[in-house]
Amino acid sequence: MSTAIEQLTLEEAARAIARGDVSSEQVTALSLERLRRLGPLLNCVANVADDSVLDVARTLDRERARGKLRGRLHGVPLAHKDLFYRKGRRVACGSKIRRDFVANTTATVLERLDAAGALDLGTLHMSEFAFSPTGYNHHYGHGLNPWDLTRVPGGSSSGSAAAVAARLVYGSLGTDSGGSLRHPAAMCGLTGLKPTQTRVSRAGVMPLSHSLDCVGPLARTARDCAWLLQAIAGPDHADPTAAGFSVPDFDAGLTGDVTGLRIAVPTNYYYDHATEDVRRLLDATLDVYRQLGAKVSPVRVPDVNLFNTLAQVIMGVEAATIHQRWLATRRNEYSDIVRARIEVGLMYPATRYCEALALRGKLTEAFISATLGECDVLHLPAVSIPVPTIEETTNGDPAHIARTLGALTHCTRGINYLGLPAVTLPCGFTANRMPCGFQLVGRPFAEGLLLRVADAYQRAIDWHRRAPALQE
Amino acid sequence: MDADILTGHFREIYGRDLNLDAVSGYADIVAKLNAAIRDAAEKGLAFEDEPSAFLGVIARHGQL
Repeated sequence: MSTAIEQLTLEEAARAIARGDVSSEQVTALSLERLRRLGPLLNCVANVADDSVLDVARTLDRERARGKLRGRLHGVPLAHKDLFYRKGRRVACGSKIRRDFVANTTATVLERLDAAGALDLGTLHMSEFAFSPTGYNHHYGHGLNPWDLTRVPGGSSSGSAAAVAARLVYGSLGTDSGGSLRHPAAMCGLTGLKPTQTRVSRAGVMPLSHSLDCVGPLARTARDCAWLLQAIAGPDHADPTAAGFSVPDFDAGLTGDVTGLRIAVPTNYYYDHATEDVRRLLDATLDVYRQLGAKVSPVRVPDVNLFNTLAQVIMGVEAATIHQRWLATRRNEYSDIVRARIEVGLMYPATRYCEALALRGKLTEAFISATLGECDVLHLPAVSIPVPTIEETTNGDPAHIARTLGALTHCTRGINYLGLPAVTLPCGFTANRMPCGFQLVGRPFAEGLLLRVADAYQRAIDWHRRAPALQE
Repeated sequence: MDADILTGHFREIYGRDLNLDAVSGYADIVAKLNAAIRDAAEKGLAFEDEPSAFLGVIARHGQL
C-alpha cells in the first residue's frame, strides 16, 4: 500500500480489503486505535466498541478469503452519531437525560450497513438532542474541529465530521433537520449528503422533528457518500414514511460527465451574509464547472425567510411534543439553551403548526419551479462565513453570537422545509485556513444527479484529499 | 395569544408557571411567524392542503 491506510477513502479502503491488499482486521485495529487515542483530543467520541469487534473483522476476512463479500462495505470500519439505536447499546443522544438509555431495537440504517458488511466501531459525539449548528454541548464539552482545535466543528453531527476528517473512520451516518450534516461537512472539509425527505428510513433514530429529520452520510468523497447511501436508502416496513421508490445504482451514475448541465446560481438571499473569501471560493467552483462543460444561469429564489420561519415552527412544536414528558419531570437535566429552544414549541398555536405543514407542498412546488424549472441543480454556499472560534459562538455579546449562529444556518434550514436533497462538498480554505464548502440542491429524489455533479468536481479538484495535521 | 390563557395552559400541562420572558426569543419568533403567515395569505397561498400534500409533491417529482 503506497498510501497510509488511514488516508484511503472509504471506496479505496473497501476495494483494498476486497482485493486482500489489506485485511479488515488491520484496518479495524487501526481505526480502533485512532478512535481511542485521537478521539478524546477532538472530543468526538461518545463510546468506542470493545475489542470483540476485531473478531467480527476476522470473520469477515475469512469470508473474503473464501470468495464471499457481504456487500460493497465488506470489512470497512465506520462509527455513527450517538442517536442511532443498536439493541443493547447505550445511546445518549448527546444528552444527560438519555445518558443511561439502552436501546431495545436497532435502527434500520444500521441493520443495512451491517448487511453490507460494514463494521460499527462506536458512537460519536453530538450536540445535545441534535440542537446546535456549532457542535456545542453543555454536558460533554464542545466538539472540536480537527483543522483547528479552537474552532467549532459544526453541528449537530459534530463527532461524525471530526472523526471522518481526522481519519479515525472512513465514513459516518449523521442526521440533518436544519443543516446538521451539511454544517459539519462544510466546516471540516468533508462531503455530506442530506437526502430527499423520505429517501432514507428513520426507524430507530432518536427524532428531533419528524417532518424535517433526514439520515445521511458524511464521508470524504461523493463516491463514498454514494456507497453509503446505496446501503441505507429505500423502503422500510418499520418506517411507513420511507418512500417506496426503487433506489438507483448511484455508483454507476458517477460518470464524471456534466456536459450541458445547467447550474442555477441565486441572485438574492443566499449571499446576504457571505464574506468576500467565501464568495471568491464559491465563484471558483463555478469556473470549474464551466470548464467541465456546464452552463451557469442566475435565478431569483422565492422568500427563503418564510421557509426558515415555518421550519422553526415545525421543529419547535414537534421537538416539544417529543420532549414534553422530560420537560415536565427532568427539566433541570437540559442545558438552558436547549430547553429554551424546545419550550418555545409549547406555545405556538396549533393552527400555526398546521399552516406551516399545509403550505409546504405549494411552497416546494413554487421553489422548484423558480430555481430548478430551467436548471438541473441549484448552487449555494453551505456556510456563509469562515468557521468561527468556539469563543466567538459561546462568549461575548449575545446579539453578536445570535448573528453568527444565524449566518451558519442561513443557507441550510430552508432546504429541510422544502424536503429537497442537498450535497455539501469542500471547495478550499478561507483566510483563517479553515475549510469552506458549497452546496448543490436538486429536485426530489435527484441524489444520483447531485452525486454525479459533486463527483465531477472532485475528479477535477482535490480539496477532498486534504487532511488536517493533528498536533497530539 | 392571550398571555393568561397561555400560561394557564402551560400550568395545567406542566404543573408550573411559565415566564414568557424567560423563553429565548419567543416574542420575536411569534412576530416573525405571524408576519410570514399573513404575507403568505396575502400572496394568495391557500391553507386548505393537508400536510400529506407535501409528500405528494416530492413523490410526483420522484416519478418524473
